[in-house]
Amino acid sequence: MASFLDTIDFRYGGAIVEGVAKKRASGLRDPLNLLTTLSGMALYLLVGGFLLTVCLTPFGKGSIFGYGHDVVACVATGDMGMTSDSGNWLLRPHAGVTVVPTHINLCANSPSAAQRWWYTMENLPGWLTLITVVLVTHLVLQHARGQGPYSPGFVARLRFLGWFLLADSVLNPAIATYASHRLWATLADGPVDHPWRPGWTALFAGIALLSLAQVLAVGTAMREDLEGLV
Amino acid sequence: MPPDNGEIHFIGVHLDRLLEQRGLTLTELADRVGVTVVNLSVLKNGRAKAIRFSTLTALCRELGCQPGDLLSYRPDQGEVNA
Repeated sequence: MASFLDTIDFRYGGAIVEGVAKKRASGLRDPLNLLTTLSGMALYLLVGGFLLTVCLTPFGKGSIFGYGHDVVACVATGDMGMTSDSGNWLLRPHAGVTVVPTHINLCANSPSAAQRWWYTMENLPGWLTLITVVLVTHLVLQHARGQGPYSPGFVARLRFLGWFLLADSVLNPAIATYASHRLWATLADGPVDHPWRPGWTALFAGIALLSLAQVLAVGTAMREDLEGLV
Repeated sequence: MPPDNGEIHFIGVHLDRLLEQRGLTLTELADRVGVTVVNLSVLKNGRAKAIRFSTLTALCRELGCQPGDLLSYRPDQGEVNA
């Protein structure tokens, strides 16, 4: 199949221009080397660290979420809407400064199985999101290095990442909020505020990625047209 | 394999026939016209989506033919994806 570079060769003609065009075109992809290497390192560190901790936890040498050595299961409230004069604290605010203790942390020193489970459910989605985003970003960059950004595979991966972040912006806070409610109920009596809020950063990042994918899809179609132009 | 993007046409390219009649190879014609062999092969095999007037001019000049000798509308011979 004719490549995009052959079109460049034809357009400018001649062996010398051909060599320059190919060198320049290949040089355009070089900047992705650094990004791909960095994302690969981040991925290996994340997954490696995660797996190592999971492997060490049963032997009492590590802890992950609600399981392992010296673990405490904590849950924080939402905004308490209180003020304090901080009389009993070591903290000494300056004159005219109001202390607003927005959160209270409740921690079970010896968590039960249910408490471990809800603590895990509160924290696991965030970690899974982080690992997935780093993994897909690495795949996106790898594909861009091989096939270029104007390729259907690149657009598909970018779209996947966009939809994943959109779904994550809703599901991740929903799971974490529900788990916080359940964990709080095992730690204390009385009402507490755990409001559900969408992950605004993930939401807008997802929308931005989907928009970018749409723009690149148009570019990919244009490139395909150009490749079929003789 | 033609790219499957839904662009269907009924234009046939008769470059192979003209090459045979003129006793030319694809490489020789590519040198004369100033188009890469790959691109000329794309055209010959019906995988091209479009052809520039400048390419058509050069082909007709070197092959001593009219555009109608090179291209034809053939709805009876099936759809061609481009």
